[in-house]
Amino acid sequence: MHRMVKTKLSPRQLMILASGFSFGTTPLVLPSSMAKLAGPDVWLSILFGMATGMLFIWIYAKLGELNPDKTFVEDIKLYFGKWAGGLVVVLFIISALVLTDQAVWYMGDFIHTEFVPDFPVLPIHVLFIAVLAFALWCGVETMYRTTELLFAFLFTFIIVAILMLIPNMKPENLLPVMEKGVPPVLKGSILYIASCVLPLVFLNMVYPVCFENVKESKKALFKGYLLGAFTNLITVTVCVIVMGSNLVSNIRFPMFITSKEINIFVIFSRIEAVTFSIWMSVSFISAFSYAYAGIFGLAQLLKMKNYKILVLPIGLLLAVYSLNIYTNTSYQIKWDMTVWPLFSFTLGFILPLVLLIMSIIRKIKGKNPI
Amino acid sequence: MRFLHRKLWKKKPESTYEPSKTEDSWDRNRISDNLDVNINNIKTEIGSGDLIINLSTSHPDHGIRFACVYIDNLISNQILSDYSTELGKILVSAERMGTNNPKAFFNLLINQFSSFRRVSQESRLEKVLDGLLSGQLVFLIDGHSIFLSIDAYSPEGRSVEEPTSQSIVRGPKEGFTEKLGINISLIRKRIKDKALKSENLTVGNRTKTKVTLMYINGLAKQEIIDEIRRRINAIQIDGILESGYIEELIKDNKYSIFPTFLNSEKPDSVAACLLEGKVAILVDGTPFVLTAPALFAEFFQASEDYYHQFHISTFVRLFRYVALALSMFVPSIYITLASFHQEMIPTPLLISMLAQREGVPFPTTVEVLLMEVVFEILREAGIRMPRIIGPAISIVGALVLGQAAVEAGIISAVIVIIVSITAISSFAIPNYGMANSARIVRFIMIFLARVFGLFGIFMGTLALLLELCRLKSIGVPYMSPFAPKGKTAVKDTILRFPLWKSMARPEGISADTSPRVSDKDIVTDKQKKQSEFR
Amino acid sequence: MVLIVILLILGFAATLSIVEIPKLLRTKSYKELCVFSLLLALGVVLSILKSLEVEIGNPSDLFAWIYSPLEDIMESLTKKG
Repeated sequence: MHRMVKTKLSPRQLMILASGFSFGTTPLVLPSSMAKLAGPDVWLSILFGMATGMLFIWIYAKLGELNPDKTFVEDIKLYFGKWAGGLVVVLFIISALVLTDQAVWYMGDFIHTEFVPDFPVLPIHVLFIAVLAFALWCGVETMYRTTELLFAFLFTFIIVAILMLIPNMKPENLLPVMEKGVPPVLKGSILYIASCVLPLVFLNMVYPVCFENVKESKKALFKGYLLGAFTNLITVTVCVIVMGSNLVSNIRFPMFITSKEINIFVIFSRIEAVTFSIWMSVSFISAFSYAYAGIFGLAQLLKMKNYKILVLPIGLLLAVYSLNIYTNTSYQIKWDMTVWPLFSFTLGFILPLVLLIMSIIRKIKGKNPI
Repeated sequence: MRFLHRKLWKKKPESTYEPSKTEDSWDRNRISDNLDVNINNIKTEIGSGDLIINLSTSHPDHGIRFACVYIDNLISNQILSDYSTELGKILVSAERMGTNNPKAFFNLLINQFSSFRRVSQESRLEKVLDGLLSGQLVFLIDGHSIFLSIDAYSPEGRSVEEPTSQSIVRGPKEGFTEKLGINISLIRKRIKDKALKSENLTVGNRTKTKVTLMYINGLAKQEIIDEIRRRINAIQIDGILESGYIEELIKDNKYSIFPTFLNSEKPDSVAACLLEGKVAILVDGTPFVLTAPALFAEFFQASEDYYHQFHISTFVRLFRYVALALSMFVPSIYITLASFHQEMIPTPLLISMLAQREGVPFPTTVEVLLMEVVFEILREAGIRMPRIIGPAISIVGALVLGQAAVEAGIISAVIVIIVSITAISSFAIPNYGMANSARIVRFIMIFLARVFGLFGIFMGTLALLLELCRLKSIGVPYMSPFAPKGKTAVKDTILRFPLWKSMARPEGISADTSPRVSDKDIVTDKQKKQSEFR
Repeated sequence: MVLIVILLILGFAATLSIVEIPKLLRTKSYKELCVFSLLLALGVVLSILKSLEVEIGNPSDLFAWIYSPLEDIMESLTKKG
């Protein structure tokens, strides 16, 4: 079905962005947390999480299909009413901006720890937020086109990096399988779903509204999610295969350290720059998706004509809070383990589920007017 | 305070430009019957410096007085002598027919001249003056208040020569000239299709420059043609001297670094663009013709690519993209590696680099900036200086600045290599405008690399990609077919597919989706199996 | 150092206002103007406080507080094993 839309995006772009977003939320820290929970069975966790995740993605896709001209924020306002809806939207916006800041913090922490320890972290955040603000100001079409461009490169880099790690792989690191039974695997799955599936709810700010063909974009959402999940599977498993789950669960940036192991011919022994660019790109993609959801949501809440005017003031706020959104590393680990799963389940499961149920009820009521 | 008040509250006027208007007094605009009055009016308005007024009569004794007015040097002697022959014939027939009525004489003139030249009758002085200034020959007849203007524009100008700014190995060596008529004919002789249309516009309030739009009806999208026409007509400026003015005024994104119009001095390039469905903007007075819309990939295509075999063309095209990357990133990557991330350089290279840097007083960034600035000055000097001194400067540049500076220990040898690679790469980019943009980006990258290192380069690249994806050329996204991914994504951009495979015209630009070349085998298998011609 | 940062922030805010506010006034978008000024003022105040090392809140704490009753359950759930 084709309709007139204001900002036009193509389904292929959605697929690429969904995969980048799903991959990029916590690529650096996910393997260590998952290895802590599931040991060498991370790959089982991810597989299980991938399968269960389809349910959640189905919720988002269906919600979008039933309300094709409304973004997520507009859905909330519509179904929850003016005051309750307003409150929920405010919480949604704050969550989106908090998650943006978290993405910025992860990125800054990575660079500060691995590359330039003497450099203060604030200018790094400011540069990142400046480019983020530029992307937001240019608009969602521009950002999606840019990810389309980057996609080919990033995907090739990842494949090449994985291939080059083959000499270092020790498959025995995957054993023993399910030593402690099913519960660790499930715990890992929960963490995986919380980190890599549920954030895709933020794409509902873009998903039905900007696409002419809703069916195609629905398929694209699924395809993108699967692609991202698959990439996650490969990267995390490779980390464990190369370094063993004990080591992975104890170090800070397992994927980066793994890429340092690449040592084919002298030239390729220092390709951390390539891994670095992959992480930067996916971090940027997730930061953009969160920030766009937050700013656009705020503009819709206040019924503003144009969200672009808000970009720089919110950028300033983001820069200010980015410094201690996670007070320090141990706070980050604790928050990620305890608060994050609950947070993301409320936002990514309960809220869309309620909205979906209300949409279905509305649709049924519409068909049989009482 | 008042300034602030004015700035905050006052509505900005729609436009601050007002073309100068002459006093439109009815007296002066009216053409009178009296010849002397008319001549005086014209002399007052234009001035008598290069205005030629030839008075004559149709018959020595009792004839009608008339004057022939034109501006010297806008009409060539050849045409003047042709006209005087014609005029002679007219006077003979006037005498034979006994014409003594100004109106009859006027009709005689019109009949004779309109058979082979564009003529118009004017009754407003403004129009007549415009015509005079555009090279028309004006006949004034005593007793008749309508003027006859004959188009006779034929000023001096360059003839068709080899283009100086774009050199090729294989292909036509004709280049556009400054005369609009010749340029249009150069394109017409390549595309003999009746769908090739040319539209005339006038731009510039004082220069009244003639601008022609050319496009192939049916191949070019109607919206694009209309939009270009609308934009050019909306230009309000004193003068248009070169197509660059028009390019700057009608750009989609006014402040962007990258060019969104292709310009070319070669008719075959422009003809190829027209065949793809683009619109050509020809400006009188300049040999550089604009083509719109222009996409990023087209700045890396040269017309020669299609005259050589497709293998070598693909190869060379890939190198052009590499050249772009080199020209933008090499200095900044060097600074990053040398200042921040020494561990990324393979150890033997690192040792030799450090050895070379021994005794160099400046930090790396200063060295790089110094050499870049010197090179930019050298390049600019190379363009501006008289041709005779040329070789001397290149010797100075190479020997003195490069070699001597290294031996004096002011800079290290690596820097010279870096700067030369950068410079040579920027010359490999076919379009000069794009090479200029690459220069600007290079300096921004140097700065980012100095402050932030690898992260800075990466963020800079990201911002660069965002900027490229943001741009539009007359509404068409700049990075198509890469970004909104199209079917011709790889075929004609990075690679050059064989002609028989490039059946689709670039999308987004062309309105016609039928194939432009047939993919039937010309040399069929059956023919190949036939015995050879001996 | 702190002074430079504060000056930079004020300069940024001032430039932004000078560029944007006349545009907003001209198009009479008063709602946008209010929201813009409010957010900008908030940002400037918070950043100045931050550079003076005054404690400003942490939004992550907000969510930690919301979910605090369930914190113990999560702790046990995500223990290593």
